[in-house]
Amino acid sequence: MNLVILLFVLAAVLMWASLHFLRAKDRLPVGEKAEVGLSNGQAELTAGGDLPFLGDAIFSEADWDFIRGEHSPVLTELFREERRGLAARWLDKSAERIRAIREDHLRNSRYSQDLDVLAELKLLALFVYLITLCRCMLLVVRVAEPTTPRALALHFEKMANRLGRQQGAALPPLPVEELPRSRP
Amino acid sequence: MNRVNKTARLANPDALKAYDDLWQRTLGKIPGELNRMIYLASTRDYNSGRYHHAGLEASFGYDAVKQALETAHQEIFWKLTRSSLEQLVAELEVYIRSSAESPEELLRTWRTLQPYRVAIPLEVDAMAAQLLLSNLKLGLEVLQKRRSQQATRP
Repeated sequence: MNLVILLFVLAAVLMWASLHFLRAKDRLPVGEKAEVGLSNGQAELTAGGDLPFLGDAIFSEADWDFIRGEHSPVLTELFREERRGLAARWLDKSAERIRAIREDHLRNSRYSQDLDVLAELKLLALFVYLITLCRCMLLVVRVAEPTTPRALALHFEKMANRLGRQQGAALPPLPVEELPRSRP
Repeated sequence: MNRVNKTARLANPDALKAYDDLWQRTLGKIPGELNRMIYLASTRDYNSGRYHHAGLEASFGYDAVKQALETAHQEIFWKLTRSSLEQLVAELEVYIRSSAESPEELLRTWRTLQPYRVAIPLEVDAMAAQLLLSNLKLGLEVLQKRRSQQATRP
């Protein structure tokens, strides 16, 4: 029992340490952030739900600072509520997207004749890591301030994009004629 | 807006002309992105979701105008969604100033009925729409709080 508690505390300490490390690493100067926002232009117009700026916007420190600057406990509480709700939905959607990529990959790999075992193991590790990260963030979102998991969220987005790329590189999609016609 | 992106979205040359005309004659003269989004949403039928603009349709045809209005609506939606909360509060202030209604009345109606919900374009990401609606709700509360403070100040 004591060992379980110790492990839990250790996991929590590790998570907070990585969070602080990532926060320091990923923080951008205000001007730089504004420039990135402008140069992205209208990419979303053609994007089908996979929007790179959403995590950044939901966990925005600038919005949090703005609300705190209003010095109103009611506004601060409303902001917390709104952003927690948005963050939880965003994380659910992201986890769903990752599971879909994994399922798609598994379906394709069943019909592949030259599987790279090392690449498959790397992909599996990345998948497990991302799903665990997603669950950790859901927990952090519930108990901490709305912008606390910002660094983790940006890291998560980067890794989720990498999962998509690695999956594509490890196993190109099968031609339609090679896919099974019906499934039992 | 970036001309290349716009041209890619509006493959039809008539739609491109209608889009330019829409900006020159109408949207360019409306102050603020929120105002523009509300205007564009008002050109859309509540039941069918189809856009209509009699003046433009007479010159460019229904399909071209529909594409132009839809594109402009989505562009402005994305601009607002990418805005910070502070920028959105400024947009709301511009909207309130340019409205003929009294600010108190408008704030009360917007906070109660949330009419801005029907101003979201149809074909956009649901999560992005939720973010904008949530930010608008917060922005209205910020303005309400500022007004209450002004009213109680001696």
